[in-house]
Amino acid sequence: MKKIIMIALLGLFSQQETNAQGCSDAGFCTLPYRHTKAGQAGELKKHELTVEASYNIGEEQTTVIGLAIQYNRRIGRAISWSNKLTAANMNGSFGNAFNAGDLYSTISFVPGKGRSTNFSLLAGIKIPFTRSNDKINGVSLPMVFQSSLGTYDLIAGASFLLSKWDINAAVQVPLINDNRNSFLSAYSPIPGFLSTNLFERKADALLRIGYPLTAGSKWTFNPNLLGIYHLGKDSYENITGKRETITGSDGFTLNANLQVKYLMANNRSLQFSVATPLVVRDSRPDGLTRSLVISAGYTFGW
Amino acid sequence: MLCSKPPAFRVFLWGLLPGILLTSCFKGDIQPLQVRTTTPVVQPVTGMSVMPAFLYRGVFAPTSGINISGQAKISLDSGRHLLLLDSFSVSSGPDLKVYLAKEYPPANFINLGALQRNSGSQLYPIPAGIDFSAYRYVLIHCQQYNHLFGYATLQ
Repeated sequence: MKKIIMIALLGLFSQQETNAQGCSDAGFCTLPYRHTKAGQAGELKKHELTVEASYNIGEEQTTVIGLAIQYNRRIGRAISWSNKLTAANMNGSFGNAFNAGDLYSTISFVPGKGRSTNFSLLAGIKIPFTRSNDKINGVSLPMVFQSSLGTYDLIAGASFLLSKWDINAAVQVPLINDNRNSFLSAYSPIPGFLSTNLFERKADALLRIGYPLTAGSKWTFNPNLLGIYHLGKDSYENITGKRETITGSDGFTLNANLQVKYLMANNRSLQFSVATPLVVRDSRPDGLTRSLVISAGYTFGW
Repeated sequence: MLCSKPPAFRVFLWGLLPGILLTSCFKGDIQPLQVRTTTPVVQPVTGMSVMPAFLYRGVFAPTSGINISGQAKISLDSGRHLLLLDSFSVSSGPDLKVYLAKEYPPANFINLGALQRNSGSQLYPIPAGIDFSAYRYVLIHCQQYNHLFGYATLQ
């Protein structure tokens, strides 16, 4: 059975012609899958600092270098508070843009006073650092060149182990839309991007199913399938000032993702992740479209 | 745990990661993303050979705290209407747009695009089918902060 699953995942990963959406910046791809028992190697430390970099290929071959720094504070055995700052550099047909992205502040909670390691809850918020209207030489940029969606979001999720399967479910709901993007394709000097003037984005629901495997005491592999359902049609304001929904912007996205963790010492680890999309929505105006995501991170605990 | 798996399975798994990386890392393997595009409804201005007679014109007036000067002029050139901001100057703003509007502050308007520059004459194409008896105002409007910088009443 396990061989069949691995062969299926390999087949999915090895698709070389993809025109699809990868993991969003919703933090979904980095939702924790750790169910480490107390006293076990790699157990969460009281303080953890993670730095992460990612290489992404987005719409119209735009390359996105993502940077993140995350501080994790364990509060007792049951609660862990995480704060993650992101930034991104985008390079493509419009030029080069760099800006801070978002702050993700989340709390994960293990019921049963932290004794159970099979189930945890997650709740948090995303706060944008930009209004998603960065420009290059005064030219409005499409969303793929924006470092943030410009929305204040609520994030809620649950993570549990079912037999040896690792399952994460989450929703990300925009509560306040502060997106002031002003890109209109009708006035764009470069074709290929959808209008996102005063863009409004709908919520996402996520389900990730992984099968974590360990090799020795240092390596952990988590091959997983990541499904994201975009719960409504996004919209923008057209040149007549009327709001227009974007056909095909709702629906299902499926990604194949492999997460690898290498425990360097009891308080230090490296993480790698590779993701590529398998099923996509028809329209993806939000700039989160990725044909490939590769990331690496380093965590230090004390 | 993987350590307890049969050797064949371990070999298979260890072969998985480099296989994925090799098939994924080559940029040439990634096909261009298929993004649905919208046909531009406004063609860019390539210049007017002969300055035509102006159908409508108006002088810009500022809102509170803003400096603005110049005229808005509507012309018909080769069958399409153009807006000329003539001898134009306005205070700087983070996200200034040019609107053709029925009223101000704008509620019913045509967004003619981003202000090209803060001073100097500049041309903007106008979409076909505009009723200038209804769209009587040219506005300079900061979209990001929803703040009107100036307006010209077309006559």
